[in-house]
Amino acid sequence: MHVLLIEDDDQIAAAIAVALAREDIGIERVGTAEAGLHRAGGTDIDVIIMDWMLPGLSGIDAVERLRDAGIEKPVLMLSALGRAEHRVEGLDRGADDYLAKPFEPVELVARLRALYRRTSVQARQPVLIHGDIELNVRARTAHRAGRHLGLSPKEFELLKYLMENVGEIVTREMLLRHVWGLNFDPQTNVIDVNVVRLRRKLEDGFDSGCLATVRGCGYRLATSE
Amino acid sequence: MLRRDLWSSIAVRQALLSIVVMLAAVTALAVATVATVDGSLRADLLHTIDTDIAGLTDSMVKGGASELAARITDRTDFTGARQPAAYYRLTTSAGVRLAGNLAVPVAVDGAHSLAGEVVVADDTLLFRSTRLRGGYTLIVGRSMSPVAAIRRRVWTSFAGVGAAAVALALLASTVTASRLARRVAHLDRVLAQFAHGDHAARSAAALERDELARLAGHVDAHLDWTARLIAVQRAISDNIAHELRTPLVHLDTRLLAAIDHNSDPVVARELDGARADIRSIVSLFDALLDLAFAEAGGIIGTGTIFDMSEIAADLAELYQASAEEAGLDFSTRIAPAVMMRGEPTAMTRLIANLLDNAVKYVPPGERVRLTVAQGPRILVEDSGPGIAAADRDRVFMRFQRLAPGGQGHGLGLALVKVIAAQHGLVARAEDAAPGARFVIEPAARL
Repeated sequence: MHVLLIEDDDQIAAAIAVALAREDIGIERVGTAEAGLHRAGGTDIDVIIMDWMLPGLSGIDAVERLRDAGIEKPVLMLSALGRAEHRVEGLDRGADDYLAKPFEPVELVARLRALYRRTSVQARQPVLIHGDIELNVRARTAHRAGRHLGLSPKEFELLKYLMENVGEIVTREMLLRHVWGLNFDPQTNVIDVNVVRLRRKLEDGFDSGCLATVRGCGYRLATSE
Repeated sequence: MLRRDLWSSIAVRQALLSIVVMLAAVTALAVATVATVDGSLRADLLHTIDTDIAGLTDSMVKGGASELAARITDRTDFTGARQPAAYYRLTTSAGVRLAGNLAVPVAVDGAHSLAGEVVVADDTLLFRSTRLRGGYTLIVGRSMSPVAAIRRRVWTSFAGVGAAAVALALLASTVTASRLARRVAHLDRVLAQFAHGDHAARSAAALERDELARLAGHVDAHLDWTARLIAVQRAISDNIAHELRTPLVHLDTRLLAAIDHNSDPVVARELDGARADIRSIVSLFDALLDLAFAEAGGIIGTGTIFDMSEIAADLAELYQASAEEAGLDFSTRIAPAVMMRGEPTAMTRLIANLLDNAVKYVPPGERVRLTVAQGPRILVEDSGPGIAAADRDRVFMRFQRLAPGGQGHGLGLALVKVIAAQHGLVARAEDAAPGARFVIEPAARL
């Protein structure tokens, strides 16, 4: 994965570079939206990180221009404006995801990987299979080792999202947004409790665990068989 | 309800009042006209009677009482109509009738001539009686029925004119009233739209140059001013957010770098704590800015119509597990298809904040129930210790935490109140005996 970072703040750019380098993600940085637009069309660019407030053309306007120019590459909007309304506006105006500063490096990486995966695995498969877990997207049924898992509709969505991002860290915020459609953080640990329930249904009566908690940031559906 | 509404409209009241005044004026005019016409007709009739009497008196002078009686008989014979127009009566001093068609004696006294009205059979007469030489009394009368007929005609035509005038006035005032009502309603709608977050709403005063147009102009100027203030307020809060967050982000990246290069577990714990503090400050900013944004009327926009029941059911499912984890007996009573207009994400947040509150503060073992009914009326009630009466308003204020040591900034319920207000709803806490009940319902209409 190769990322184009459009960010005018050197210190933040450096921190992002360190975080991505650690994950073996290639990065290229420009300091203005104009320069970013110039570079965004390059075939080697997989994902774009765009800061909202840039000198000159703002990041959010740049995203609109990008879309107008027919460039559909995934854009992660980065902003020091954290309010829920900005999030909604960012997504409405063409960004694919939105992350407020300050953020955890692991959260940024997880979002980037999810964006990259979404574009590279374009085909919507009717059946998702991971190890002995089988998810029929059309019939909305889930089985593990041939045994039916009685999941509620939301638990099904949760498992589906985890399977779509198998092997990757999925953060609480990502689950809130993609599974529950919420754009704010509830004050209580609703996500954790719901994941724990799913894990119980997924693992009860089986020897092997498969849904791991990544301390402090989220969950990961293990790739190992 | 409709009648009260109609009566409460200034335009309708004005129209009705002017119709009443007009009716009174037409009636007064009719009364005056009838009195005038009546008076002059009566005078005419009396004049005719006097001329008649003069002629008859002449004939008496020439031929005596017998001649007079003959003349009277001529005249009464001549009037062949069913109801005679003229009446005569000639009596001797002893009261014996010599001639005339007036059978009933009319009270006459003294030597003077006397005029008056008397009812004979089914006719009213205007008469004059005169004492003649030799003690004879001559009474000449004329039927008043032609006068009555004219009076009736005057009344009828005034009634006709009055009815036509009322009809016209009704029509005219209906047109003006509905026009006025429409213009006021337009102004009303513009203000409501603005209040609901459509900051581009203006009345765009029409061609008229009247008071209402001037008022509309002032309203527009005021809305311009308010919209400008809101925009400035938003820009300022965005700037503050940006300028305050950026150094915190820098601080955070420094701490991250320090964590990367540190191996001392004690230092690591402090560094983690420092980062957690930064998170807390940032989330406080966000909560305050969200609140300010909502208060400035920013959340609604033009609004959409959405299904509150669906949102509540989804959130209930999300919170079910948390509530059970917290040892609460959580249940819902959600009426189907409770539709409302507004911003669904804001209403989602409202319910989430109420449920967060319940999960955080209701002790284990107690009941919590979420109810959504038509209205919309949203209740979150519990069987916990409840909220002291003195604190029930305070819970909705910023930075007010009733339970010590709770997490969060004490802004959750403040946001609930603001979001509710933006949707024309009120939020209040009441005694559920036992426990607390949070009620979100339409504001009572004034």
